[in-house]
Formats: sequence, C-alpha cells, structure tokens
Amino acid sequence: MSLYQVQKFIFEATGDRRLGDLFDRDPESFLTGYALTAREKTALAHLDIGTLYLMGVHPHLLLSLAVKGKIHWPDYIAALQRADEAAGREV
Amino acid sequence: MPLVFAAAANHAPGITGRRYRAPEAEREPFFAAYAELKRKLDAARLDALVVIAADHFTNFFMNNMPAFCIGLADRYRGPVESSSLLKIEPTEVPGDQRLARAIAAGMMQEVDLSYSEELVFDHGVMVPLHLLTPDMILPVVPIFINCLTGPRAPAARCYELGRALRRATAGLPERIGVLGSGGLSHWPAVPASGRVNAAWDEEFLDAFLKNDRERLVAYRDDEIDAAGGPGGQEIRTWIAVAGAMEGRTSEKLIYLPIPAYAVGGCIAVGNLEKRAA
Ligand SMILES: [Fe+2]
Repeated sequence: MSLYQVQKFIFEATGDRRLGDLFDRDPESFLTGYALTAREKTALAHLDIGTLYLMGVHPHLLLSLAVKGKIHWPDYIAALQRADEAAGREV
Repeated sequence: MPLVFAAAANHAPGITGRRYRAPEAEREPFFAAYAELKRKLDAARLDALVVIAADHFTNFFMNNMPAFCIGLADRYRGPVESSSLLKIEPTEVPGDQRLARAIAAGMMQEVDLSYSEELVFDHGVMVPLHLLTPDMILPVVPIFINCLTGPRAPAARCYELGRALRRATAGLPERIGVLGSGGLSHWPAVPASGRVNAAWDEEFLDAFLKNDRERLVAYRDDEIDAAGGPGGQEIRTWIAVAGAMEGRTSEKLIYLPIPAYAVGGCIAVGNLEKRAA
C-alpha cells in the first residue's frame, strides 16, 4: 500500500491538464512514474472508484478523478455504496 | 482602521451548481439571506475583502501542506471547476499585492503563515464571491486554512490567526472586511452526502454568534469528524473570523438545513459596534 503515491497521482493527473492528457493517452507508462503496487496501478488505470475509496483515498481527490473520467455523480456514489457494502461497512 | 465588515457563510458547490434542486421553501430564504449579506457588504464600502477559506486539493497537497497560507498575488483565476458543474464562468478576481504584503507582514508578528503568489480559486472562494461581489472589482486577499487532512491547526490557533489579522489591519488606512467561507457540518463526496447535523450546527452557531472563545477553541478534530463530518473541519474558517472580531457578537441571517446543497445553509454577519456580554 502506498496511499500517498495513489493520492499524489490523482492530485497531479486531475490538477494539471498536461499531465492529465498524458495519462489519458498512455495510462500504463504514465503510472510508472509513481511508486505504486500492481493493485493500485490497476485500480487507477481502470478508474475503479470503489477500490480506491476502500484504500482510503480522500473523497475530494476521488471525486476529482471521477469528474475527470466522466463518471457521473449517481454512478460515483453507487460505486462507493457498493464498496461500503462489500466491505461490510455501515454507511 | 479596525475591520469594518465581518461575516461567515458556507460555500458548498451545490449552492450555485444545483441551485434549483432545492425546494423553493429552502432556496428562497437562503438566497435572500445571501442577498442581505451582499447589501451589508456593499454598505461597508470596502477597499478590500480578506476571504478566509478552505482549500480542496486545488492549491495544496500533502507534499507541502500549509496550516495557513495567504495569497500575495495581484490577480487570481477561478473557479477551477467546470462551469457546467458549478454554474460559475471562469473569471479573474482582483488581488492587491501591496495590501496583502502589509497584512502578511503584520500577521507574521504573531502567527506563522506561508504565502503564495499563484493561488487559484475553487468553489470555496468562488461561490461566496459569485454571490457577494459578482462584478469582481473588489480586491480580495485570500487566506487558506488547511481543513483537509491532519495534522491541522487546532481551533485555538485558528482563533489566533483571526486575532493576528485584526491587529495587522487595525493600523492600515484601508477599509477592510473579512469573510469566512466553509462548514458547517457536511459529508462531501461520500454516500452520506446530503446529511446535515442540525443540532451540532446550531450549537456551533450559538458559540460563534456569542463569540464565546472558550467554546469555540474547545472543538477537537475527532469530535468534529464524528458529529460534523469531514466537511465540519471547515468551521476553522468561522473560528478565525470570530478571532478577528474578538469581543464582538454576530447576527444570524439564516440557518436552514438544505440537503440538496449537502449543507445547513448558514450565514452570519458581525455586529462590529456591539461588544459581547
Ligand atoms: Fe469546502
């Protein structure tokens, strides 16, 4: 787990248009710039909101990533709810 | 001269972005209260407005997270959010580098600030400005308080930040106002979004209106998280405003839970002439 690196990636890919475009063109090679586990890379490359949420990504960063990935609010919240249920967490 | 205007209000993106999602019975009085605040701000004939706000990973990250950061730029851009989401067109907000430097230098006698000449504004600054200074001709001096992730400056330090602002501005010739932007209880970007803890909000608001320093500085991060949600950490912006007008009470313009905006709509304005009991 390298939550800091996951969040740093999201901060940079959503905050900097140039980096964001680079990520869109070639997610795999872009992600090599960060010290991430295979699981983290996969979750980021596939915009797996629920998994990233369970990893502890700050919701503000997570929502920015969803907006960048054109995931709409109802789908975003549904992904979080599914993750909460899967993890047996009370909402 | 002493501060001539002080107020605090919330800034949830839904206020502008989903304005008509709230039923009229909630929307009307809330926007009427914001309009009332605008009239008071206009009547104060300000030369500059200090906006004490929370950042949302727009300017800062955990690689170098300032507890407090003051903007020293002559102009700012905002909002960073798309206009389709926030319903605010990208615009330029005037700053005032000379005044901001004077304020920063004065405040640094008492609190440690970081400063930045390239801040950009997200909804935390732009929602209140859009409603209060839509012409965007009033120079703004932004001060950000880290409300995102711990360790954050505790409530007592935020009160001190406000005190330092008051002392730093007292000797300046300009007519300066201060606006706190944030809170109260809310749970942004999580499934609990839309929840409002009205009892907790009212309790905090009571302490704020009375400018009861002892109660305001007693708020602790874990309690805020549990009762007010992660967004509740933004009460720091209100606490700083209370510090800036220590010894003075405030008047409530509105408190009304508005789930569609994911906050309790809350606006208060300082009685700068009246002393607290
Ligand atoms: Fe906020």
